[in-house]
Formats: sequence, C-alpha cells, structure tokens
Amino acid sequence: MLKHTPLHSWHVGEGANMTGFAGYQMPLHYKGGILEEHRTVRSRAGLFDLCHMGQIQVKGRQASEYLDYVLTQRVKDMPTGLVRYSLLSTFDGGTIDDLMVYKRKEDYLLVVNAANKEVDFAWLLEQKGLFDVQITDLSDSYGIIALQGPAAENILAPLVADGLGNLKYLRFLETEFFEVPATVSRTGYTGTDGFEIYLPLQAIPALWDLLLKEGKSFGLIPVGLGARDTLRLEMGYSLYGHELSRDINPLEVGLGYAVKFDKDDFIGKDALEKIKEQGIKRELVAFKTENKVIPRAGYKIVVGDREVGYVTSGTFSPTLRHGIALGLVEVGLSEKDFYLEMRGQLKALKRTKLPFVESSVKK
Amino acid sequence: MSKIPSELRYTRTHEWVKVDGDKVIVGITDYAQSELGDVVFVELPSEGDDFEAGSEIATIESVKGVSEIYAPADGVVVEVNEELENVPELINEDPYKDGWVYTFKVEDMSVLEDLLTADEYEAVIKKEE
Repeated sequence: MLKHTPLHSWHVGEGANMTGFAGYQMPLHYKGGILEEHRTVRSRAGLFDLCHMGQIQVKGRQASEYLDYVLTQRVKDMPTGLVRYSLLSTFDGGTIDDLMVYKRKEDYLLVVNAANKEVDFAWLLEQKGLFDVQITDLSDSYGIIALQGPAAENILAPLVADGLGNLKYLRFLETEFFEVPATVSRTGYTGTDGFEIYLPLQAIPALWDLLLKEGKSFGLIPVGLGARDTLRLEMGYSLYGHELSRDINPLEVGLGYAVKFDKDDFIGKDALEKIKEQGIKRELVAFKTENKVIPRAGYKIVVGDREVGYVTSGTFSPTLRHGIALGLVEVGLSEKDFYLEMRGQLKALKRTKLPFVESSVKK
Repeated sequence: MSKIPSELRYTRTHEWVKVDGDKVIVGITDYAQSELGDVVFVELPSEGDDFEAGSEIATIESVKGVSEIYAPADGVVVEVNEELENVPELINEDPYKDGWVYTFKVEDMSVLEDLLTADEYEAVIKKEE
C-alpha cells in the first residue's frame, strides 16, 4: 500500500500522472508534461511536493560530536543557519545515503532520501552508542515544498514575514507561515535559484495553494518527479541508487569534497583513506550523445570490444535537446573512444564536462 | 479519459490499427501516448521490412523512458511516417491521425478481425489504471 502526501488529492484533481516512488504515490508529471515543466523551472518557476522525503532530528549535549562521527562532512564548526551536504558511510566506505544537514538554533535536521529514511534512522540509532543525543524521525509530521526557478525569490519574498533579507545559497532562516514555525533554505536540486520550505504536514496544503496563487503571475506551475530528475541530471547531481550506493564509494563519483579526512574519526574513515591511498578503480564520467541516441541507466559502456562500465543515469536533456549520461567506468581510459550498447547496437559516446548545463544557482 | 475511436481496432500492447484500402495504418493509442509522456524520438522501421505478429517493429523514446511498438499481424512495411523524424511530438498531439507510425500490407486481412474492439480495449486500459 503506497503512502500519500498531504497534497495527494490535489495532484489527482489536477490530472497528474501518478507513480509509485519510495513507498509513496507521487506525481511524475502534470498535464503539460515533463518537457514543459522542466523548461518552466529553467525560465520561470516550479513548485515541487517533496513530502515523501525523510527528516531526522538530532539534538542533545553531544549532537555535533555524534554527527561528526556518523557523517563524512564536518559538522562541529557549522554556524546556525548553515546547510551542508554529507554522506552517511558504512564502515567499509560504501554509502548508505546522501543528505543535507541543517544547523538550527536548537537542533540539527538531517534531510534524507525517501527510499532510505527507515534504514538511515535505524543506522543512526545503532551508532548512537554512549553519545548523549536524542534522535527523532520527524518524517511523518513535517513536509517539504520546493520552489525552484529564477522567479522563486520574487514569489517567496513578499510572503515571508521579514522578507528573505540577504539569504544566501546553502543558508536558511526560521520563520512562520499561518502562525506555524517553518524553515526556509536557499537550496535545491535543479541548478536554478530556489528555496526549500519545511513545515508541519498539516500546513502543507495551505502553503502550496498560497504559493501557486501568488506565483501565478510569475508563471509558476507544479512540477513532478520526472522533471526533477532531468533537472538534476543536467547539473550532474548524484542520485542515490544511481551514482551512490553501498557498492559505490564517494571518491569514485567525485564527492570527495564531502569527506573530511582531517576529522579525528568518523565511520568509514579508515576504509576511505585506504581507497584514497590505493587510488580509485572506477570514475564517474559525463557523456553526451548525438543523433537521437538516448542513454538510459544500466546500458553498458564499451571500449574496443570490452565492457568498461555502465550508465548510472541517462536521459534526453530538455535544455540541450540531446542525450546526456553519467557513467561509472574504469579509470585510465580518458583518451579512448567510448561506445554505448543500446538495443544490440554500439553508439558513440562523447566525453564532456559537468555540469551539462550551466548552473544559475545564486552563490 | 483517453480517446478510443470506435471505428479502429486495438492491441493489448496499445497500438491502434485502421484498414485503408489494401493496406493497414498503425499508430499508438491516446492512452499509450499519455502514459509515455513527451515523445522525443521515434526509431522507425524501413519500407519493405517484413515482420511477424508480436515482433518489435519500432521504438519510441520519451523523456521518461523507452518503449517498443509491436506488430499486430504478419506483414510487410509499406510506408513510414517520416514527419516523426522531425516532429516526434505528433504522437502526443494527434495519436490517431498525424501521429500514425507506419502502414503495412497484410496477407490475410481477416486476422485483423481478431484484434480488440474499442470496447474491449477500454476494458484493457481500465484494468491497467
């Protein structure tokens, strides 16, 4: 039985194409389709229901020490109001999940992938040991709405009591909507300017309606998971289950910046240090295709007559109008010609640089 | 609700079929196009290709994913809709007319009688929904 977000009946009423995702029934796209939704986020603004995502609160006397032990990122020096990207690593350097850490006044908030929230929560409890912390799964009481696109600031600012001030990328403020406490961060997964808003589930439908109403004159439309995926892939952002898993380590996929080796100790440190010393054996490479070839996750990548890796994520880029892909391939092949095996035929892959599309995030 | 014109015949794999003189026109249904979403590329068969009922004869790539078009009967390809090379979205915009995919010659027209009627096809998609 798939779970519903508080916006489920709204989505269905709009004629959304619904799909099962991470145990929830979610909108894949609305009537306009993925291309229109994608382009609207790049040119104006889109609204996303992210109430399926997980939210785990960590607080207590040793919250920062504990998080510095379970996360690869550094947490201790985070000032209130900052957001950082981190990985949750296993002892052998595989990745359990990737997440955003919010340092709020009274606590830390970990925002995790919907598909992993139970596993993450269990792992976090298991590793608690003697740390003096309280860990609470808030996923069933709080929700998230993302407002993304160049018009996002102009839509949101008038609705926030004291305005957005000088809120920068990866920063957040605490405010209220409808007299309910809310967290607003300048973050997102689209590569455009935008915000993510956290508030109690019961207040989600009212904020959704308010944003759509106020955003209408700016061209704001609701956007489903289909465009969320094409938008993130144009930026080369990793997605758990594709570029990250227990069998892929963060150094292979270019996420070494989120692993702070100079921290005293953290789960996965020994294993990741060893991998770093010995050098990675696979690397994530960005490819583009021509002639209407659309790479898809799982397709084989071939050099000569040898399979050297596979596509972790691939799609048709609505902005570039050609195929784009991330592939996990053996290292040391940079000068070679890569091919994609598609329906029994080999198609040329061209190496390219990330991001596929220039980011317009306001740093 | 998807459109299901009563004068056409249908397959369980969401193709529609229309007899036009001595050839048969094939496309995908309104339900199929709405499930696929934005079509960005159609890999068409070649004129003169012969095929067996149920074989994969064309490929449709949408933003969402890839899916096959299956042959409704044994036959030989007569024409393909070359407009789809440049305007693949015709499949979304007009699946029963300008979005046709190919025509073929069937040896025995009577096999088409075994395909689904509009009412039978409607029951198929009700089950999928």
